[in-house]
Amino acid sequence: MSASCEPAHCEPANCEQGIVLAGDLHARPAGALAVAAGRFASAVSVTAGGHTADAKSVLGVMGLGATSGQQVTVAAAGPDAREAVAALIAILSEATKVGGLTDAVWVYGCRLMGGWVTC
Amino acid sequence: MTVQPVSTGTVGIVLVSHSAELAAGAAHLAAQVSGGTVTIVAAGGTDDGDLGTSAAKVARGIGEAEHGAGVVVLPDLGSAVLTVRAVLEDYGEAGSVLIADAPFVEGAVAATVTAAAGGDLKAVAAAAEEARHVRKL
Repeated sequence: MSASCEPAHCEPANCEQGIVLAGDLHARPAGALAVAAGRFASAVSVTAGGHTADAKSVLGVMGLGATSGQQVTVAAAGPDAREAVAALIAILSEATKVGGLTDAVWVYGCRLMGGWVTC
Repeated sequence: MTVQPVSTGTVGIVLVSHSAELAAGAAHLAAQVSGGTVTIVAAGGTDDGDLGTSAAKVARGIGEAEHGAGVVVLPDLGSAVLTVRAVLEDYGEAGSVLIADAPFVEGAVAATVTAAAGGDLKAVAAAAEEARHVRKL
């Protein structure tokens, strides 16, 4: 199963995008997500199953217990909101693929810090 | 034992446990979750390998973990705190080393992820301490 992305809704300082996870949001993808989120100035949140966590808190993200097939929404508010949402959606798309997180995802996540938008 | 290669510019982490295996395991886990860019030093057990803590191991660990951005030390239980405090009294630049009052495993993971994201010394220590308020169920 591959992740399916919804269209992003973005204004200059606010951005939000949903994705249906292709795999469970285990510890390592949660870590990748939190490391990436922590590099942005914007406030970034992740919502799943009616609960919202600070995306920069790895324990908060893990505590969501998001699983394969579940809808997850990433929202950001701040000067780099658009880039933050794009990066985190891409990480969720890659890191929860069946087979789990590979080293390549970390490299990919870091490259996304340059502002790529893929999903 | 140092799990990660030297990484400059990020806050280093020292895990002080009564058990060498527990410290090493927590360091391994934190490295996996955070992507392997932070120096995490496991300082567990006594000098002769028994359960307990070693001021020499802690002092050496702080030295290994320091790359210019400071070091956060997480003790596991009771006397590990006393050992860390004793080391810091002798360390001199205590301002660059903070003890985190945090759950050991969750604090190690949270601190390391924040360090990997480029958080400063206070942010990394705060991430560890906030771990006590995050529910896992």
